[in-house]
Amino acid sequence: MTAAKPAIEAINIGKDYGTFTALTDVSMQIMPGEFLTLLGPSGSGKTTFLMMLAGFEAVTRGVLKIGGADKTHADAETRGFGMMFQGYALFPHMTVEQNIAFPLKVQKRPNSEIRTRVADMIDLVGLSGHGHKRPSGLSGGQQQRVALARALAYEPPVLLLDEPFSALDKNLRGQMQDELRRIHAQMGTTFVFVTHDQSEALALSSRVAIFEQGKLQQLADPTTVYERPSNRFVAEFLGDINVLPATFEGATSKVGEFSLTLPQAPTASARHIAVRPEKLAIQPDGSQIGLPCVINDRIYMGAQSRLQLTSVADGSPMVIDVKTSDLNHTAEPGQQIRVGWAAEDSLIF
Amino acid sequence: MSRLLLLSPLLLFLGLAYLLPLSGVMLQSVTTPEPGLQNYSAALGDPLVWSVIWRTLRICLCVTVLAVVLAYPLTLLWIKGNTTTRVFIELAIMIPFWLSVLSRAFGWLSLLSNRGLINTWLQSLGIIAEPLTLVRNEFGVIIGMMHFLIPFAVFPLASAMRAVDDRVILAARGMGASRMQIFWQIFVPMTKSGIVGAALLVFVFSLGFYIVPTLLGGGRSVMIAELIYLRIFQIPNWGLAAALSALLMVSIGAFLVALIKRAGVSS
Repeated sequence: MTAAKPAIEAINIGKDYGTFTALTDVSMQIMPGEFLTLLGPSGSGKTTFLMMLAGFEAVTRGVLKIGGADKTHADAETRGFGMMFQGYALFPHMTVEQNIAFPLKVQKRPNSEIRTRVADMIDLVGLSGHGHKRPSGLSGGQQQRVALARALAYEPPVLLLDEPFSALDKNLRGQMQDELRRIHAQMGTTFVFVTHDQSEALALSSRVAIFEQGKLQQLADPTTVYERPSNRFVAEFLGDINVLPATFEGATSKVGEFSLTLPQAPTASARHIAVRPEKLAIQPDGSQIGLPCVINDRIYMGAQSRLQLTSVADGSPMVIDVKTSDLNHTAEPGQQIRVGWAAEDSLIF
Repeated sequence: MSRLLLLSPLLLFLGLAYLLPLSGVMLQSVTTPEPGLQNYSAALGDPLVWSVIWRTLRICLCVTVLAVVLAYPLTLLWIKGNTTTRVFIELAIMIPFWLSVLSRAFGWLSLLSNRGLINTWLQSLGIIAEPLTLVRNEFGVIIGMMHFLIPFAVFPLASAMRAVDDRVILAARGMGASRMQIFWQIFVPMTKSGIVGAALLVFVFSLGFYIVPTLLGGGRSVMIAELIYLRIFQIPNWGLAAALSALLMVSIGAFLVALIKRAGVSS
C-alpha cells in the first residue's frame, strides 16, 4: 500500500465561515480502494471536509490533490466522484432505472451500454423487479440501495457517503452496512464515509479519521483508534471508558491502592489512567489485589452484564462489563468487590 | 353543533351576500321572460356568443402560458437569488397587489395608446412613422391581463420550488450534469405540480376578467364577462345574461374538477 499513489491527498486543508473556523489544517492521504470513515460529533467538521472533497464547499486554505493533480478549486462536476447524500437525494420524478441511468446519460454513454449497466447495478444492490417504480413507492432501505446504485453506476474512482444510514432503523442499518462492505469489496472503489455512529465506523472501515472541533484528532485503523486512542476525546468518543485519577512515579502508577507497573514511564503531564469496561476483571473473593469498589447497580444485557461501581478510595464512578455467566450471587448492589486490569490495557492521559 | 354555531356568522354572510343573489341569477336564467330553457338555447345558438367564447379561451390560454412562463424565472430568482435580488423581486411582486386593477389598466393605456409613451418615443426616435396599434385589440388585453396575473402564478411556483431538496441538485451536479441539464431534466420536472397549479389559477382567474379587457380592448375584443355586462346594461336582457353567467360558472367548475382529478391521479 505504501507504494501506491494516494487517490486523494489533503495538505493542510482548512475552512472558515467568516470569522468561524470550521476546519483547521487537516492533512491526510486517502489510498485507492480503502474504506475511510470520517467520524465525529455533529459540528466537528467531518461533513465540511467531505463537502470540500466533493467540491460543494470552497476550500479556504491548503491544497487538495486528486490522483496527484491539484484540484483544490475544481468544480464538483469535473471531479467525477460518486456521492450518496443523507436523505438519498433521488430524483422523485424518475423511475429507479431512470435514476440510475441519469449519470450515464450525462456522460453520453451508448444506449446499449446504459441498459446493461443499469440492469447490472439493480442486480448488485438487490432491487430486481423494482426498476419501474418511482422512489416514492420504495421503502427507506430500498431508496438507499437506489442511491448507492446510482452513485456507483458510472464507476467513479471515489464514492463519498454523507451519513447515508442515519434515517434507517437499527436492523436495516446493520443489513445495509453488510451490503456496503460486500459492494466495497466487490467494486474496489475508494469509499469515504461520514458518520457520527462509532460502532458503524469501527465495523466498516479500513481506517477511521476522528474529528472534533474542526480538528483531526486521530487517523488510524479501527483497532488502533479503539485500543490506543491518541487522546482522551478519542477514547471517550469511541465507546465507554473509565477515566480514573492516578499518581505516577517513574513507570509505577497508583490508582487508589491499586498499583501497576506500566510498560514505560508516562510523560509528566499524565494525570489519569483510562480502562475500557471490558478490560476490567473482578478479582476472586478474598483477594487483596485490585481497586475496592461498591456495586451500585447490575444491568443485564443478555450475554453480557454491566456493573455500575463506585471506587471506595475517591468515589470515582466506574463501569465494568463481564460475561453474565461469570457473575455470581455476590455481585449484587451494595456488595464490595475488587477490580483489576492488566498494565498494558491502561491508557494514560 | 357548537362548531356550526361559531361558523354561523360567516355562513350567514356568505348566504346573504353570495348564495342568495346567485340563486336569484340562476332562477332568472330559467324564468325571464317566461319559464323554460329558451335563454340557454338562445345563448348557445348565437354565433356572436360562440365567437366571444372562442376569443375568451384564446386570450386566456395566451395569458396563462405567458404569465406562467414569465413568472417561472421571476420565482426562481426570488427563491434562489441573493438577498438584494430577493427583496427587489418581493417588492415587484407585492406592490402590484396594493394598486387597484383600474389604475393599472389606465397605466397600461397611457403607455400603449397611439399617443402613449411607447408610440411617441418610437416616433421621435424615428423608428416608426405611424403609431403601432398596441391597445384596443387582443394584444393590449393580453398585456394588461398578464401583468395582473403574474404575481398569482408566482405563489404556487414558489411553494413547489421551495420543496425541491437542494441535495438532489447537488447530486446531479456531482454526477457531472450541466446547468441546462439540471434545469430541464431535474428542476422543471420536480416543480411540475407548481406549474400546473399556477396555470390553473391564472386560467380560471382570467376567464372572468372584466375591467382590463373592457379598458384595453376598447370594445373590440369583447370577452365573456363584458358580453354579460352588455346583455344587462346595454340590451337589457337579464334572462340571457343570467344564462351566460350560469354557463360560465358551470364550465369553470367542470374544468376545475377535471383538472384536479387528473392532477390527483398523476401525483
